[in-house]
Amino acid sequence: MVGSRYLAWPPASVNTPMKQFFLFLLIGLVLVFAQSIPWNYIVPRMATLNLSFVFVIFLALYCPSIGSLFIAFLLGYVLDVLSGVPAGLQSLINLFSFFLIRAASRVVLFESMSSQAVLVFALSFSADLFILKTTRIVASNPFGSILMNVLANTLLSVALCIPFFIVYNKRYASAQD
Amino acid sequence: MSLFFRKYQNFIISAFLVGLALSIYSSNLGVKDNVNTSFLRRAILSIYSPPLRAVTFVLGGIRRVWDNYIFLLHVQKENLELKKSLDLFLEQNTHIKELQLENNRLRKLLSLKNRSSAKLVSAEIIGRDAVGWLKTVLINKGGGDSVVAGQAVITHLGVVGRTTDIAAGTAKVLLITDINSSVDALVQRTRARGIVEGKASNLCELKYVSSSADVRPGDLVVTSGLCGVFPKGLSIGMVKCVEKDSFNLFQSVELTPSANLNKLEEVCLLFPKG
Repeated sequence: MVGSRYLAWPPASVNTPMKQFFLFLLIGLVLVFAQSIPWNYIVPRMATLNLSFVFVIFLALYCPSIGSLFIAFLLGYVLDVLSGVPAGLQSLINLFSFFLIRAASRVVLFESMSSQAVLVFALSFSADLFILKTTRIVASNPFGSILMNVLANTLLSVALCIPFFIVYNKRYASAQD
Repeated sequence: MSLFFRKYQNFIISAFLVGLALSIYSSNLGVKDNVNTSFLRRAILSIYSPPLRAVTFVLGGIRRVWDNYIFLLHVQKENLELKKSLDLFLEQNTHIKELQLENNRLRKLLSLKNRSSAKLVSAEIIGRDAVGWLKTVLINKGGGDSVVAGQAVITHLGVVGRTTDIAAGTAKVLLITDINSSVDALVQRTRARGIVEGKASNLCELKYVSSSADVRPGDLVVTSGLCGVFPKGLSIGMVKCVEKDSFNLFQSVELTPSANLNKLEEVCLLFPKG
């Protein structure tokens, strides 16, 4: 799990594991911050996308290390504090997603954009459903409407990721050349 | 020993992190009111509070510019409608004042204690739930402003929720629409009692109302004053629909909250006087 498989990112100036750890942590914390901003001041019914979770997927795919695992745990805890989710739940989801991706990476190479998009979709969808199930939201609402909301949020997350995947995959390809 | 640790380093650290997350999760399961906010939680809330305040200030500014200068198309029409409703409310107000005076006289006559009024402190919403499925918000008042956990939060329209996690400059508010929220309530017209619980959508549910109780769509539901957080008579919401089943002891009552919880910008914290 130590050492990154791809060398295109992070940039060459962030060359030590410690620097890389703090850079990733900072990016993750900024994403959590972006999730907490009351965007509904401007766009009343704007959905909250779990950007930090997508970032954890990115770390597990491209920069798997013990540092990244720590970041997954920390981001989950911070997210729990800034939301009504029971503390520890998002940390658990982040950690299990990380392990799942690492296990799946031994079988499937997530190098094409389509496989990466499918992975983000499957994990985000499952994570959201897991949160809704454990917080009893599923039990007190019609399952159909919940499913539609989760589906809409997940598709938005995937759509947001696609430009990043394109850029990353291009950089990776150029680094390989 | 160090060789063993090096060999199984990844496994040991992974197991430690999973164990830590599990222990945090299990220790927080079933905790509804977080009266004692831990140091770490307070620290995280305190770190996030200042930048959230700054961004909310900017977003509020953009919203004000939009509302005050650009969105002025229907102002004249709206102004006329508001003047009409103001006349109506002035008339109603005179009637209410008369009733209040009569109420005071009768209370004195019956030697009943006057309902203690509460001090209101306004606060701004600076953050919303970071996960999105739960219904919590962050406000710009915290422990430094004498805010404590379990304090009532309202707007001029009705009940908003109650405070949970408290840091120095910020507090988390559990909205009445959250799945973990419950408020003891009364149907204003018939005095039927029940408990208002959140549905994690924009609606609430009035639970445990006897199936024989008279509840109709349009009825106002108010706080009963029994839960110890909200004083009696605060508006919670309007009955949206009622479902009765002859085999059930209770009827299912859905409520639309009085306060528009999707567009919250400012709220008031209730401080009991004395």
